Amino acid sequence: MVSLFHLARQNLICRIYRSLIIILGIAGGAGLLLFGALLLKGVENGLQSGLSRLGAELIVVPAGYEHPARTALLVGEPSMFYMHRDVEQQVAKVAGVEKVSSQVFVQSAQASCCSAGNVLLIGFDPASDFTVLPWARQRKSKLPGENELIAGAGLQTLPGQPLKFFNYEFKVAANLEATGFGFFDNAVFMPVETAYRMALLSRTRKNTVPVKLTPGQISALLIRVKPGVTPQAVARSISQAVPGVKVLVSEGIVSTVRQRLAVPVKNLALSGAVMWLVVFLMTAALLTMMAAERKREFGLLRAMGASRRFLIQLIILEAGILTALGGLFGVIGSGILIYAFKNLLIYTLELPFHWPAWSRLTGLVASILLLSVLAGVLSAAYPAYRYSQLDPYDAIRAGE
Amino acid sequence: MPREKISKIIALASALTGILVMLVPRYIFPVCQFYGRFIETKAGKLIPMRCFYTAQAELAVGAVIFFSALALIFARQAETRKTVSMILVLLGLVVIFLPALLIGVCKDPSMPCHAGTLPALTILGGALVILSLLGVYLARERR
Repeated sequence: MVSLFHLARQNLICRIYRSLIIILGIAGGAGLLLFGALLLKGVENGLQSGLSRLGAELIVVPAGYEHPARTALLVGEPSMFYMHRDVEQQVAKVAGVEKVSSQVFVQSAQASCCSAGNVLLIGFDPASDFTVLPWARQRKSKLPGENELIAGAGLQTLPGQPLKFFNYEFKVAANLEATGFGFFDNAVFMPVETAYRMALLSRTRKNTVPVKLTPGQISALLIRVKPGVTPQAVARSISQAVPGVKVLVSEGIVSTVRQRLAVPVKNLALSGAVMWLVVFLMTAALLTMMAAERKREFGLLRAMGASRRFLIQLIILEAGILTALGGLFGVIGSGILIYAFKNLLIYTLELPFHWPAWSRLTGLVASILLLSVLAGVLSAAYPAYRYSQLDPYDAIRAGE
Repeated sequence: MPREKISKIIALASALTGILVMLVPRYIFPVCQFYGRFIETKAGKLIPMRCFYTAQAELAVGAVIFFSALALIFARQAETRKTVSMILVLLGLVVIFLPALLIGVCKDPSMPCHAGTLPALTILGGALVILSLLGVYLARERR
């Protein structure tokens, strides 16, 4: 006896081109949907995990360097800008400021004196730091000593591994786990005094690119505000009290990223919606056409004893198989694309990215697959009902 | 009949992959040289980075894939299709290994060749391997 599934499979293979068109259409729609959703969730995830680890509501940088500072923070794009350390004391005196910690940024060179070029080297102040050290203490990781550093996940190093920057030999004390936030993933952290010493020695050593950083210079100040005070109000006070600096508000960075993401996500959602509509109509038309061509086959099946219900099941099963396959290829393809081109997205859009949790990802994929199958079943409903109602004799005659 | 139809579709897709392998490192996801990035020697001379040589090699491999896939479209005997498909599997692996191991691309993940060319070629090579394995399976002898 021929099973319903076998019959459906044979029908689909015999009409391979039409089957492929439907599969590709559904795959495109499902892929676009997953791509948009993953992009949105991944960027939100990267922002949340990164900013919560940063633990600072405000970041003070030299005026005119807001963009490089923001890019360094979001994607870890290295840049070097400095201001005098006196700013730290001036900012600490501003009302509403709870904690201040200074950092220096150095860009590693694409030369033999560095193990890796274009890496953001961050010197932090161990006495006031509230970003890296609490993390290391919480994880019971080794705190970086004099010639040691903490490496971001993007560098793919192992604890104890030697690294060389400007011919200064370091050892990796610990590795940060991936956050999707470039400031942590594509950077290495070392005590600020080590950074000053490294810069000083770079200017005296042979075959070494000199680092133009002198003790007393800092790149940025991370600020935590007192409870009950709004970061915006403290930012205004700092701008008024300290000349020559620019204050970045963490919340502002989040909203800037959301704004930047709004247009591509809106376009993706719109294309996805249009594609779904087109695919739905195309699938319905193709299935109706395929069913119309098979009147004789349906008539013969009915004459041999197949019930109306059997015909309905057959048409719906065929549509279900096609759309499920399309949905599956779409989510697999989209997943592969976003995984493979993650770095390209991060550096072109200048956005942080971190994969959503497995539970959320599974839920997302399952709902897209369900939507695909549902679209197939709905588009097959009309031809299934219509051609199951035909009288066997009329159907055989009509198909001749 | 469907088996031949599917084989033809696979051959066409393989030919398209060959064209893409040629185009990707130069026009679609160009390697660093096409962005004006070079290595500067101490003497001040600009020399291409290793990703450029990967692009050159992929141009040749892409051409071989394209012509092998054309041969596959017109091949009538199952044995010929099987052999050409096996060669395409190997060529697909070469497409993947050239940027990943054999010649390589720049190490920095933010460089265009690392962020764009490498994943694009890996996906194309992977697709060619899967398609060609399917081609080998379809060209098996009928019992």
